[in-house]
Amino acid sequence: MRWWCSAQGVAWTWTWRPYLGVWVMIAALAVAYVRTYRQAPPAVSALDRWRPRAAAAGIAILWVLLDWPVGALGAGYLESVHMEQYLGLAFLVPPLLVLGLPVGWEARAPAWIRPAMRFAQPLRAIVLFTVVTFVTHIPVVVDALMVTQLGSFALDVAWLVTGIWFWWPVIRPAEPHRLGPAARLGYTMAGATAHMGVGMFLALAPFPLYSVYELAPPMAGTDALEDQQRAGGLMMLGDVMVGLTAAGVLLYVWQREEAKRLSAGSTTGPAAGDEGTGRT
Amino acid sequence: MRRSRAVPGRGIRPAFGFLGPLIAAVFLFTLACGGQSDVAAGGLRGVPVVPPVPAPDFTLTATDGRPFHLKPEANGRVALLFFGYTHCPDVCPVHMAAIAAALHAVPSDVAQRVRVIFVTVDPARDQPARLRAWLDNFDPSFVGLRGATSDVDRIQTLLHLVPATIETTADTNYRVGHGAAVIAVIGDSARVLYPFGTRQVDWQHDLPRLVAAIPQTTS
Repeated sequence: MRWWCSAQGVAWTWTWRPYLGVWVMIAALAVAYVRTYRQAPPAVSALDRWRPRAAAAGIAILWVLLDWPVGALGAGYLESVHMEQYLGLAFLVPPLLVLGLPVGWEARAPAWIRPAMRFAQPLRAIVLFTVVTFVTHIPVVVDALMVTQLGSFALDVAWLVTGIWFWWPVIRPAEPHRLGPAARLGYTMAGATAHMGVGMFLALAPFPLYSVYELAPPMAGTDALEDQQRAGGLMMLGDVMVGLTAAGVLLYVWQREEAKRLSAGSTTGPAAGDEGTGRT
Repeated sequence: MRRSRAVPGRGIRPAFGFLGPLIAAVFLFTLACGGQSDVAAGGLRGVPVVPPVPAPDFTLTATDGRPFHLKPEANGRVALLFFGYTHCPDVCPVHMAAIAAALHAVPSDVAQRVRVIFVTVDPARDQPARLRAWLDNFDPSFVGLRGATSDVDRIQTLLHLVPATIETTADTNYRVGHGAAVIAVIGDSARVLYPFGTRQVDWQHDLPRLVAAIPQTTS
């Protein structure tokens, strides 16, 4: 039994295969979340009541992305599926998981996780997120990592972890690195659009860049170069959608905060209505 | 209130201290491995056959029913000879797709002097219509050949290839073990082998060089 999806070079079949490592990871995340949620104070706002649903959605999507068939197809057969995995692991699952954490989680976080949270500060996070995205799309890196379970696992975890760091300052802005609404908007747009270069690189390359996909047993009706162009297009489209969605949400939050501040008679305290600010 | 950093030197520089060496290492690694290094003398990426093996002078049947005689058909061209089968799940379609893509990418005067010849090692299932349709998925100019298993085995042996073996299974969904290399025949001899793993960029690199190696007297 294999524990993680990786490129194997064997013809694809629709026969289900178990990946034990994925199950262990998903189960561990679910158990950790339930324990964290039970220790949290009772929900006081509508958003607090939605947090478990966001976390559950994040964990469920993560499971779909990593397990058979999506995980196996993306690891060894179709670059476009690999790109969907990337977009999900970097742009969809992390914000759901971060949003799903109860208010004040930062103060109760296990000691072993706190050093890692040093990277969840805006500048460090966006640099790491972008660097990891670029490095993990260099052909020689992909070709070297995707053929082993450990390498494929490392790629998936790198995207997920740097995605969490990237989204943390947007969803749970905290002192001393709190970003204002406009800065959060710019940060998110910058983080998303920085990936356009990788998408264009894939979409415009005149030949297949990754041997792992070019030499993979072909699936009916697929061509390695077309699949690569589809992957590049997906990345660009995904970045645009993430940027626009984040901009819409952040503009809404910004407008709501302004309205609350005005209705409160121009109070001078910190902006009310920050969701998951990390204040305890 | 903004707090000052409590520990001097634990700011941004230590946090990113590892990035410089990491990026440098990745790009050095890319430079070292990413470029398709030449594996053969003469700047070819295929594996040279040393000494060159005389090309077998065979005649098999093309998908249109006509006899196909290698020697005159390959005269003045590079013949890329491959022994495979259309039910092959991996090696055959990957090789054919890479060659087809490369032929579309190289200058037309190069492409016109390359002939791709696919000899089936599974004539029972690769009937002419199926073989033709399968090759047309890649390029209609690809030649599909069929022949008696004994003849095809003999040709492979003459080319120093291990003849294909058919798995014995109860159903018709059997697999065939066969050589994974494409053989470039230039003039009257097999000169270069292209094992599985040869990529589109490798073909794009080598095809003009193979065409340039066609003896002037035969063209």
